[in-house]
Amino acid sequence: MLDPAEIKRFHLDWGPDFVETVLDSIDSLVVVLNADGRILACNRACETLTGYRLGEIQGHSPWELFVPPEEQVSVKAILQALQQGQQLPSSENHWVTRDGELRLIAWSNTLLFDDRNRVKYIVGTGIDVTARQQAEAVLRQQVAFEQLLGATARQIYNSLSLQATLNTAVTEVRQLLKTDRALILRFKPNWAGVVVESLASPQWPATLGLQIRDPQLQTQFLAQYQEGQGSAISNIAQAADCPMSWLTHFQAKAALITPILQGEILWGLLIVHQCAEPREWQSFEITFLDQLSTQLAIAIQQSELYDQLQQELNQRKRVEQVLQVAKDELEERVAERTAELKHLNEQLQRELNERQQAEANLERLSRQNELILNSMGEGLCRLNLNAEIMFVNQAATQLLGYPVDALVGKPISLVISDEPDTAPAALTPVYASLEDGSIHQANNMRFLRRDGDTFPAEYMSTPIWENNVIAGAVITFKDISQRQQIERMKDEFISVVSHELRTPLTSIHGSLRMLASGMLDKQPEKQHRLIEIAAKSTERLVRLINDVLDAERIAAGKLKVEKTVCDIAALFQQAINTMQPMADKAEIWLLSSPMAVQIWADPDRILQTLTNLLSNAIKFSDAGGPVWVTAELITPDQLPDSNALPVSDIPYVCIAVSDKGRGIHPDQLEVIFERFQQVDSSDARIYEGTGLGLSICRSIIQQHGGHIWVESQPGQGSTFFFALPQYLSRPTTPSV
Amino acid sequence: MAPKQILIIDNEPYIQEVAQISLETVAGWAVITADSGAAGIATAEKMQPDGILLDVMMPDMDGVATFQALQANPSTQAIPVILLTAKVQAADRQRYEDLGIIVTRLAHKSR
Repeated sequence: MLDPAEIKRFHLDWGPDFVETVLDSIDSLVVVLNADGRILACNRACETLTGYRLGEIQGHSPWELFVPPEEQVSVKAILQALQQGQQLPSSENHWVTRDGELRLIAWSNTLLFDDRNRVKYIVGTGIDVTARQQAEAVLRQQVAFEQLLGATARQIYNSLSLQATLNTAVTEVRQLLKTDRALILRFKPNWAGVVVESLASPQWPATLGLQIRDPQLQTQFLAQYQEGQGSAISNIAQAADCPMSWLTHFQAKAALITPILQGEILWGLLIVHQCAEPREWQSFEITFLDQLSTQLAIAIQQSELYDQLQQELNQRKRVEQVLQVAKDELEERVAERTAELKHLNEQLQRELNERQQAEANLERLSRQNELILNSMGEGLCRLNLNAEIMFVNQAATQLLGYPVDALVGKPISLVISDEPDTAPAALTPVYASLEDGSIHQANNMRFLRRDGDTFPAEYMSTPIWENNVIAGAVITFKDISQRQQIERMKDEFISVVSHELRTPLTSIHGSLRMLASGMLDKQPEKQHRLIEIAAKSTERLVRLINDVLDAERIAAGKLKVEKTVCDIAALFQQAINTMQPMADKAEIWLLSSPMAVQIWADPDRILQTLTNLLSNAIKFSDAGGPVWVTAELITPDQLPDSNALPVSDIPYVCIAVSDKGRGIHPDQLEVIFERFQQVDSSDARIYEGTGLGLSICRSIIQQHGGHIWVESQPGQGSTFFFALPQYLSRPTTPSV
Repeated sequence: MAPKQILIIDNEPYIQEVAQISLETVAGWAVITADSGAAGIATAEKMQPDGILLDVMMPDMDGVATFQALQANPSTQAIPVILLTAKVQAADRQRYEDLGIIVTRLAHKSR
């Protein structure tokens, strides 16, 4: 609550001085204009701002004095409107001060009316908003800068290449700050710098690529820059210590230097120059540059990273390319190799097939050879150079009585008789062929069997030639005991035959010589006797020769048999007639019971058979003994070898010749029908006989489709049978 | 003087006869015969001939065996023996000679 006295005092004080004082205390301009728009009064602020005292401007129009020419029209219009009495909103316009300075005033007008509602006074209140305007301008610029900074940053971010980034930075900086030159300096490890990007107005020297070494920089300013503190030099000429004194060479008059820090490391400097004149750097400009350098640092790092990445990617790409090339090459090579291998494989397969084929052939051949070797009747041994047995065939093992493994590796002397007197000779052909490489034979050697037996053998030793070198020998041998036996038999036969030939010849010759000598002329009965002996001996000779010839013919398969109808009884008779003398001489009774039956046969041959059997029977009987000849019909099943005979339902005529002689041993019953066999070789020489008889008989009977055999009891006698099929004419089925 | 007695031992009857006739006619010897070696030995023992003609090729006892028997027999040892054979081979010849037999070829004596 105010003291009423104070209020009273105020009312007393409130006068025109008070009002003036108040008006002079305010900052705002107050101007009173009359209805014509001329200045009646103004306050101190107005005087201060305009630089004029009231006395100098009273009575003038403000637009004459203060309003700049370009605004006079609009201000005049406002005044006129005010003079009309229009209440106008606030407006702004410039006033020019006495010094020529432009100030922006924001006017607000009040109209005072007279009692006739005509404008009496115009009171204008103005506020100097120049500073505000400037501040607004700065702010706007700052905003613009901020926006531009953002945009620049984005642009920087977007340009990933470092160079593009730097280029963008200097471009934007120069544009924004409207400097003559903007450049970026990059430091090398030794703190020499290189201008990596620079943009300047054409009239100023370019600095791109410049390399700078400034010791002053290093000593004085490096630490500061490393801290992040830049330099702002408004006037290089006046600067006490300029970090880039060299810049004067490039006519820089003002410079703003901002360090670009990568973490802790000073990467470089962002520098802007004003070349035309010195320039007062605004703080927001400095700030902007700072912020930009930060962005730049990030961008640099980013782009370096990106570059690194790019490099790495490129490297990787290169590596990949190289790998790809290598891979392609490898693939190519693999393909080549595969093709090669396939080819090789095919080749191998072919070769393998060929080889398999060859092997199969070889095996077949080898088997064949083996078969051949083992089918040979002769024994075969392969010897090495040491005359050791390397291979034997089956026949050899059988002949020698050893299994294969008992022979292989053993010397051949194992099986060739080691009788002291024969051994050296026995082996000579073997050694000879191993030595001289030609074929050598040995006859009449004895080979030694496993069981100790020996057998007579002949062998041949053939050397094996391999690549013109003797590699061994092949011994082939055969057991010649049978041959020897046969030869012995033949020898014996020959000796027997020759004896049998000579015997009658002796008789004939002796008889004839005696007769020819004439000494018996006086003894005709002796003469007769000799003639008879010669005649009989001749017959015997003829018989012998016939037998031998028959035997040969039979052996050659050429015995001729001429068959016709024969009567058994008649044959019997003939045979008996022929043998009677012999029987008489031996004092044997000949008895026969013939049969009136006919057969289809060769009568001479059947007769021959009969007489032969009778002759044997007589020979082997003791004096006084009987010999029977019988005939009967039998059925085929009664024959001893019924399954061996060709015909089966024709009856057989069976003729038997029996004696009571010494008989034949069971072992001999078959053997005696073979050639040269004598039951006992001494026996047959009692009387004539070559041992051919029974074999001839057998051949004859066989040629008739018959069979001949003997039954005998040693010591009691023998019966020889022969059975002939009873064909009554030439048989339809061949019998022989 | 009594004619010489010759014993012919041979199993062939005709040869016996021819030899007998020849010797009787030509040499005037008395000939006795035997059909086998055994019979011949018996006869030789009994008859003590002046000589024996012995056939080699005989069954049962052949000439050589008979000869050996005769030589072994004291009563017949001294009787000279001529062996006759149509069969002389190298092996036999040796055999004869081993027994002390003189082997000569019986050439065609034209007498």
